[in-house]
Amino acid sequence: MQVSRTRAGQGLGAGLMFICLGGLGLWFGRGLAVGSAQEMGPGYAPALVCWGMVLVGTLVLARSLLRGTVAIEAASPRAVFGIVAALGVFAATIGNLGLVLSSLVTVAVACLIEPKLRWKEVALLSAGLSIAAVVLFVFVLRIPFRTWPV
Amino acid sequence: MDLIDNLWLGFTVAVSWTNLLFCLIGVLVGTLIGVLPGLGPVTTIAMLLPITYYLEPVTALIMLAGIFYGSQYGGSTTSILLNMPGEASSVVTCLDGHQMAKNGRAGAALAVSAIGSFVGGTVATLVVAGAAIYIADFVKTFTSVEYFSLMVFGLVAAVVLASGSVLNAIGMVLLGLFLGMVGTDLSTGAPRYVFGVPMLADGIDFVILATGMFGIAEVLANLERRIRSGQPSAITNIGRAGLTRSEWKQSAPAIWRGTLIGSALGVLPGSGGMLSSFASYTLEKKLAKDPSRFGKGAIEGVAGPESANNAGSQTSFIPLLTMGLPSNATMAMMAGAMMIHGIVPSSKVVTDQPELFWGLIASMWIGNVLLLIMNLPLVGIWIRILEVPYRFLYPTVLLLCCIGVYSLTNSPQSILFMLGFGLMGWMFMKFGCEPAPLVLGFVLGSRMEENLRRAMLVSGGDGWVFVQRPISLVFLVCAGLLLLLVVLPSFSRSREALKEG
Repeated sequence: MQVSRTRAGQGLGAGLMFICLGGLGLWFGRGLAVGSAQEMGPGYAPALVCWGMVLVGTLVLARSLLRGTVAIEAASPRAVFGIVAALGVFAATIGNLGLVLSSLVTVAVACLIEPKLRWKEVALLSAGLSIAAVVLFVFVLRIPFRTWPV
Repeated sequence: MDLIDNLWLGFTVAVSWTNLLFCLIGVLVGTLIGVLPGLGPVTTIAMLLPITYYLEPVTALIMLAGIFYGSQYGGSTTSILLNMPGEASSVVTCLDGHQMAKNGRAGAALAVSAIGSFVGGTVATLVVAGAAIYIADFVKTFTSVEYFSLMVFGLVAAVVLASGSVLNAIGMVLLGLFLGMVGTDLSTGAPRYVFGVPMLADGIDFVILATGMFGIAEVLANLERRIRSGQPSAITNIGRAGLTRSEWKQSAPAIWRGTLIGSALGVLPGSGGMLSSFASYTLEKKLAKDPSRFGKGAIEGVAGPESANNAGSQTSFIPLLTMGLPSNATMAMMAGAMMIHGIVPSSKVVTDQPELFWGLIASMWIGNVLLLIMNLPLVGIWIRILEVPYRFLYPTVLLLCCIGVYSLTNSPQSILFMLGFGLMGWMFMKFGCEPAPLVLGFVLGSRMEENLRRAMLVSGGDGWVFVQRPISLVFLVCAGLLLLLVVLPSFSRSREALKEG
């Protein structure tokens, strides 16, 4: 099977990603003392690893420009934003609303990602999971969660 | 006999009611989740890691190990009935297993995979028990020089023998090492890349990283795929469960050969299970009188690789338990679980915590027995679980990850970190980079730095010390040879072939 190859593919992304991450590491680590090979400072190993990342990134980039790589699959904004929303809702509500309500809302939001939504199922699933979460974490594992809003 | 005494000790630990119960729960939950399409062993362990925090260390490891082989077994069920491999090592099972299912012999395929897994697991457990003490004793003579070279070798081997682009994998290892260095520097006390965030002062939490990269990212990738295609349908009519006489005759030798291959190859770093199942499949095809049967439902094509796969995943515990070197993502999860309980995985575990070490080994065998007893009668239930639609599963996984992580840290901020790692993991997949090498690097990061530091301090800043010590030199030469292999065209061609199945 011959997969079509393109210059603006996975390799381009991966190469740029490694170069950027290595560069960021070097930039934010510039205040760390490197020390000497005998007495390494806190910045020695990070610098080594970051330069390594920059090098690997350059090689990946060069290879993809010369030979091309597999194209990047298109992202689905619905899935990405849905996950961000669901986890964001959990983080925002767990402190104040307590485990029961927070689980309910989180599951309901997560269900919205599915294109073929059935309201009855969403209601049943979020109620069921919320109860299951309380049973497992509060009653069985005895973790001192706040269960209800204050 | 030392070995018998030790095994006896292990069994007394493993058969306590609590440990038996959690072994059973682990195996059950593992199979249950492993059967669900789209959830492999690593995701399962990542998701349930926070829960084990509240158990005793031995019990936690026993349960996690149970989850591991349970989910692997469950994955074969999915491969056979759904033609959908849960992870790389069950790709081979799809080839002939699903064909057998189409021919109405799904029952036989499931039975032979259970029996093969049991034989492979039993033999491999004995191998682990027998080899562990000797290796651990040998490793105890290592200084930081040898340790550093050993870790270099382990990481290089894991990168070369796993699937995917080697260059990308090296980049991911480096990124993992880097993430492992975030937090307070162990020897100077200087904060590194903390940015004034109190949660980062102790370093990035392994659980948050693992649930994000393997739980959240997996869900995201699956959702994208589903929005585009839809759910495949399972074969639910499994036919008669037992094997016919001729099927027994064909599969018995394949099981033994697979067990041997798996036990040996599983020790190698990299994806132990995958490599052994591919090797076993190739061997069975070569030995068969009529190789054309393969791919059309040859029972040896299920029996061999399944035994090899299970034997390999058992012996892949050897490098972790005797040298503290996780050889694949699952073992990195186990290492992370040990570290959560304050146990540093190294050769000291065998001598300092014999109950933990031997208890875990004994429980591996017990877990395999439980799998064999449970799986054949429970096949009917697993089939029904296969049909649970993904739209019920992913909200469950998401909620479990959230509550699990929150229960450990009690801070909503940790959920945002998990989300961040999830999005990172998703981006890696988009760019064709696998997250497994990153986790290996992450687990080894601080220990590698410590050993490098100590070695250079003792040698007075002279890097040649790594080449002058014979054991260290052997590790480095092996690592170099492996890297050379990748450059050779014939080897990289067969790697490509493996990848494309």
